[in-house]
Amino acid sequence: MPNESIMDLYRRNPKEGFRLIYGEFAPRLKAYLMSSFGLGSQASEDIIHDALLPWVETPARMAAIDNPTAYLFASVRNGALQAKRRPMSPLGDEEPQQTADPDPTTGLEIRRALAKLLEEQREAVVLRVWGGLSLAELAQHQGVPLQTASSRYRYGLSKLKELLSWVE
Amino acid sequence: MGGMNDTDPFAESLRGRLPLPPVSDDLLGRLERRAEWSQPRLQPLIVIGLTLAVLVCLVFYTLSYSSTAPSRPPSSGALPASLPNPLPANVPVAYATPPDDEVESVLSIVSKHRLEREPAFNFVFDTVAPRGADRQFLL
Repeated sequence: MPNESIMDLYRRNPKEGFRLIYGEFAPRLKAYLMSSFGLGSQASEDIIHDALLPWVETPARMAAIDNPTAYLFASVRNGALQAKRRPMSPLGDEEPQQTADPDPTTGLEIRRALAKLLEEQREAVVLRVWGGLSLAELAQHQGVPLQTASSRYRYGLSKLKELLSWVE
Repeated sequence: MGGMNDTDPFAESLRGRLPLPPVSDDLLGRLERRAEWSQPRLQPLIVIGLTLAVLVCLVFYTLSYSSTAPSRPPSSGALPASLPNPLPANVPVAYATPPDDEVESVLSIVSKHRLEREPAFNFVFDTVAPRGADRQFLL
């Protein structure tokens, strides 16, 4: 659903709008935090909780936001960077069963392949494939020109193809 | 949100093999408990009603206090049986002005006792007026 439609509903009815925001973003934000920062399920949900809290506590203030996608992914990235300063478990080795993968072995292989990418390429792939960001939103999120964001995504995807055994 | 519309087959296969992680139901509950719309609101009518009730109580308290203050019951009144009476029953609680005849009787007793101790007092007392009548009174 486009950002404008989400915010229109949120401004008219914060309660229903928030439920839509939660349903649209919470799983994507969690995938971003787990795959790009190597955080666990609980740590990821704690960061998502903090990022979504203003949306329920002060809806009048949050109604001024035009792009919830950019806002929320930036919020959880800040939270993840703070959490990264604390000790954590290795990337991809925690709670693989919680992802409900159709093929847990393949899911774990993808996680391990993602961990081998350069950080900005991994973030670009995760945000684009699982986070649902457009290239323009990705560029805004990473603070780089559109071309750079596009290159990071393409190079990251190519590297993943090389690393994954099931890709023909 | 163009990513979800990405038609790259490889990206699609990645999403299919590693779906989005489930989010625990508890997270939504935790957030909605903190929601502004879940908090009890004081409606304007309730606020006005409470304010009026407090004002009425204040006025009632002020009026009742001012009317009861001068007519306080005497402390020698009946006390609850559970409390010991700290004062004897015959102690007057307020000073009563004695009538004139009582004052005179007390003064006569004082004069009588002094006359018994000082007989000269009687003389001086009786002769002050005649002797002082025709001369200056010196201090």
